[in-house]
Amino acid sequence: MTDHLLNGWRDKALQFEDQLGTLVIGQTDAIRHSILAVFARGHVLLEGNVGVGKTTLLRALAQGLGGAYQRIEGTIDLMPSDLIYYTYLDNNGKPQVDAGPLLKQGEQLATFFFNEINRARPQVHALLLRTMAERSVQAFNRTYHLPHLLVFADRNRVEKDETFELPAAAKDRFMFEITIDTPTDDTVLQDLMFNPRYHDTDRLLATLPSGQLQFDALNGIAELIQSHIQSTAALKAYALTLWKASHRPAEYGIRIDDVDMAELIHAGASPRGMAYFIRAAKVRAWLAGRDNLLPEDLRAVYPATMAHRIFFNPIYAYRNDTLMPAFISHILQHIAAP
Amino acid sequence: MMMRFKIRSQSLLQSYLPARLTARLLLPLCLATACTGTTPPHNDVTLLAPRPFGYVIGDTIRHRLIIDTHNGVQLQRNSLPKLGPINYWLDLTDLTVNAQPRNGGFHYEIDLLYQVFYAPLEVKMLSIPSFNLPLAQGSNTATQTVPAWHFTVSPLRELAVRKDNGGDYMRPDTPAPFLDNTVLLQGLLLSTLTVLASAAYLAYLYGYVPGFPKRSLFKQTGKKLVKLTDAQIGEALSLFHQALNTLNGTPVFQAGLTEFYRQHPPYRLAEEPLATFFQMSNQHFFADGIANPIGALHALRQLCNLCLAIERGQR
Repeated sequence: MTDHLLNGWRDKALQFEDQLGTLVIGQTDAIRHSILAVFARGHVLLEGNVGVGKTTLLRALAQGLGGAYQRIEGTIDLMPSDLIYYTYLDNNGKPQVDAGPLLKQGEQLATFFFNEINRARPQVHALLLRTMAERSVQAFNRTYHLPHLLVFADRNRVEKDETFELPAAAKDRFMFEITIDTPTDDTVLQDLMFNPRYHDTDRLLATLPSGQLQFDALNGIAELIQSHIQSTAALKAYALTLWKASHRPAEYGIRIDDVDMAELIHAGASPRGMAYFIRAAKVRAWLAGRDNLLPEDLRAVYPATMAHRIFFNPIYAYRNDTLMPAFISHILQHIAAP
Repeated sequence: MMMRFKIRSQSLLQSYLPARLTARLLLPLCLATACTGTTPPHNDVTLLAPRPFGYVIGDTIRHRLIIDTHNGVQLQRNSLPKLGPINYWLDLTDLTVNAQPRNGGFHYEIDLLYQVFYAPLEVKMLSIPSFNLPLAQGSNTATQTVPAWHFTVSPLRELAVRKDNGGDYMRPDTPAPFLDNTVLLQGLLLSTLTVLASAAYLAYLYGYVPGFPKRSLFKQTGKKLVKLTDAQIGEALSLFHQALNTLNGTPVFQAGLTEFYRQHPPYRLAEEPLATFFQMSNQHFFADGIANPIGALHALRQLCNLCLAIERGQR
């Protein structure tokens, strides 16, 4: 029964992934990670240049999930209260207080898109922390539960002025940090330029059927996946080594030119991060039609789950953009399994 | 044919900025007059010579004779002085003649290089002997004498030998110091080391080093596999993983097999059994175990033998 249910959902998930692939072309990895996040119930931080399809991907994802979708733009004057309520004068001139984007749809809120999150103040980040971690918001003397909420935040890497870097705690609450780059395949680039299908996002998204994944069933199916996919002692040992290597790379033979490995790491991945890591890997195993985790599953999700959870010492932090991919790559290349 | 003769002294032999030191001679010859019965043409002969003093045994002296002839008068080259000893203390070591037609005649430059072997006991006046320059115009010939050139040669010895100070009459020079060849030696050493290292690396790449561990990776693994039993299939799989990882330099994963084959093309021959090996490994280590460990161990030994053959270049 469980197998039958999981197989049915897997077919749906893979079909949805294919559909997303036709809407947002040249972003196979980003789409795969988005699907993994949906079924692992993890929040996603997107980073990339402007105009590469981040918003299109998220709108398509929200449409496929069904449920309510809210979007807010991060600005420097955005305050936490702006997410919870807004006030106005009604037609009779009376002041009114209405629920803000976080509370408006209540439990039906499935996708919350925080655009340009690094433009918002730390106070806003703090509110978001609790919302993401506990899927609830305290407002108007009561607690609002948002059980199906998935937060997708994005930040563009071009502009850094007047932005607030996300604190480590906020970053840690995102399951993935997905980098979306401009596609490099010439065929894809020509298609994006000359095919009018990709010029009008609304018309493009209208071709995608809504609510295919039944957002309010995802929590249940996600738990089923997590309990169904098994991991052996050897796999656990491999995962543990990957984790430890992110803390003490020198002990695991990780060497990078011009870097003192003993001084490199300020903080490695957190236990919560490693839990996200395994959850995502299990979803990948499920999508591959397996009921056991393989090292490939861990390796496939390791960069997106780890890169924003590892913090370098200040002396190396300014080289983060180049050093982090190299560090992750060295870990994956040097740790053997079994 | 008239000939003017002049001698110049040079401070630098190759330079033509001489100070005119000696007399300029104008020597008429009657040859042309006898032939043509007209006003005889003049032939100019100039001797360029260096300083006439300050020579010691072994020194060389370069003379240059410049002759400008007119009305087709030519130098008889075969009658010029011959190379070799002129007398017991003077050798003619080099003689070159350059001739160019000029104004109906010729412009000759004759370079003579003498070497002095006279060992005087005190400053002595010597002279390079005079010789005749044979000239011809058609069947008529004439000679012009190049006068002797006087110079002084100095002794190459001490004024007084201090025998009480351990001095001998004949003493060798201080040995010449060696040139500093440290950089050259270092370069040679570095080049040699580079060549040796390259040769060693090449030998390693070609597998010419039989005792090298990488060369016998699968041989050693095969030996260990033979000793293992079915119950030790996990250990057997680990051994083969280690061999592959050592061969590759980094761990090999199933998803990285394409890159592995790119790095080690000969192992494409084992593509299928290697894929099976990874499936077995995944099944054993990361799933619920291998159903048929006997067959798995047998397949693993066969794969190891195949890799051994590839390693030895037999496949």
